[in-house]
Amino acid sequence: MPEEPSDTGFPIIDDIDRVIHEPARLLIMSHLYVLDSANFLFLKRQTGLSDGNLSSHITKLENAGYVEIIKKFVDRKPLTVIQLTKGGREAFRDYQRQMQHMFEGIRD
Amino acid sequence: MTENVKLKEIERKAFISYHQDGILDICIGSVILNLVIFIWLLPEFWFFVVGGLIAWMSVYTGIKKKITVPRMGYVEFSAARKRRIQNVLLVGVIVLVFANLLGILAMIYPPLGIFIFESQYTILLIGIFGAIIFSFIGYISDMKRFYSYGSVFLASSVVTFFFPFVVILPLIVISLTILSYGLVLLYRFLLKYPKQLVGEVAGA
Repeated sequence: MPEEPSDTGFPIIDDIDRVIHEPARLLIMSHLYVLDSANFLFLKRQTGLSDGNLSSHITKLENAGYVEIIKKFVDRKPLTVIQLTKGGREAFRDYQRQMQHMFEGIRD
Repeated sequence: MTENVKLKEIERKAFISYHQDGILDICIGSVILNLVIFIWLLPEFWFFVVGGLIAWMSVYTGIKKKITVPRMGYVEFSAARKRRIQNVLLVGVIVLVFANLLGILAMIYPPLGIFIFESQYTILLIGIFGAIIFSFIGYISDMKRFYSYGSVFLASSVVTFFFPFVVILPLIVISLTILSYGLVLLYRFLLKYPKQLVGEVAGA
């Protein structure tokens, strides 16, 4: 789901998911891809992003349907955790494949 | 694949930073110290070692919730990582059960006790066995400091083999090493990650 459709004349570049491609969001998605779920503070500690930055990127990912915010109780205390949706996991795998495909055959 | 390696690195970094608080080390050091006390000072109550392990496991969970989660945040690791943690726990339980079985067998059949615990090379074998266990924990958990703990244990066993003043020296050395390093890690962790107040973190 590209953020802004573009037409570079290179379909492989046009197809890159710009929601994920942004470095901060890629970092958030990568963490959520390898973890089951995490709360805001844990993501903030791991990514080094500021509260405002992290919050706005999570909102963008949530609007794209890639992450979901779940409110649950752990030891009778309310807790808000963030995790990838099924669609988000698939989109991340597609993005990974696209990037691999794009740099295929390039030597150092 | 490079991408997969990098993703593994992200997961590994998240796991290591979550355990950089030293609480695990403090608990393991205390369990071993508990073992030292009951084997050396109160041998008639050696079975309390198992009780001590269970008690420290509950203390670990409680302290983690009180100290780590408010500072580092809450995380659920992947199923693969949970399996690896379970493997480490399983190794700990097997070692403890094995040690207790040896203790029971030695009590039931004293010649076996003499053969196992009073042989010239027992201390070296314990050192090698301990070093393998610590290295295995380090390998499974990705926490490299456990390799160092294994080396310290092996080195103190070798020293005790040549200078057998206190037979239980390797256990004393390793328990105090792990405990003190755990306290240093905890101190650093508390300085690095101040507690986040409720409402201070958006979305918390």
